[in-house]
Amino acid sequence: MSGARGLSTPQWQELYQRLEKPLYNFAWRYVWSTPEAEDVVHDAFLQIWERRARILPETADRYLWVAVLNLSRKRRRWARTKQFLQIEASPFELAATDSVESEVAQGEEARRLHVEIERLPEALRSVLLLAEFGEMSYEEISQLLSIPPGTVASRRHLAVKQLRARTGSIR
Amino acid sequence: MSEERILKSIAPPPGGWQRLVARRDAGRPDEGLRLPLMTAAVLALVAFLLRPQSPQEIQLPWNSARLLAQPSEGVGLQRVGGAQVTVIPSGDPRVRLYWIQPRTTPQGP
Repeated sequence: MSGARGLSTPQWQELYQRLEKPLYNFAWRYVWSTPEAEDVVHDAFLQIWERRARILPETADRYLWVAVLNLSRKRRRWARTKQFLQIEASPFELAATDSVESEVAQGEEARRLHVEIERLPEALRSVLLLAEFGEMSYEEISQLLSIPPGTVASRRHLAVKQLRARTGSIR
Repeated sequence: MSEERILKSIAPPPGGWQRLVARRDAGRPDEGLRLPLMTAAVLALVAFLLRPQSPQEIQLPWNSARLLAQPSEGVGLQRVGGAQVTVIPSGDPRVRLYWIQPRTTPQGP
């Protein structure tokens, strides 16, 4: 990566090719919907495109992860508001109808895992998913979330422990 | 990460890059139009702020304007000696009205 300010179109495309899948996987565990998760990822890439003149290529990864995290949380809050107002079905029901395209959402084990990820507190969920899909060290995750590396480690440990205890199916 | 992954990775739907580029090209105004649009918006704002006062604006009555704009000067008192006082009926029992006028003296021819 060069140290020059500004993101070129090939760099933007390379980012998409490299990060589309992990970002999508991350967002999917928040919104539980294929089109919604893709929308979140695309919104983040459009944000970075809008600001491409001011973004350093070496910080673009971090920018995208923060954007996807924030957008996912926002969509999740909105989905819960709609659910509260009974405008729309709950995220659980949405995911059940959306499972055709997802190998993860198939089967009893996946369903239980889905429910238990939903039950995780936000603080544990974000750390777990960043550790799972972000290819980041605890140090990098701690910088992203502005928490100490030790907290990242303990939260990840706790999240995995809770999932294992409740599903009994995770290795 | 040294820990083993516990969640399976799923594949995003195919054609994501094409949809992203289509969104980028469809949803954004032409770069060449950005400056003229911003200029027009600024000019419209300036014109709005500098618009002339509407003639239909409600004007303050003269008396109210005087009371608001100037300090009270008090009531001018004039002593009238040997005046003729006429009581005027008032609609409010708490208000008494008097008509005071100098007594006219008959003028000789």
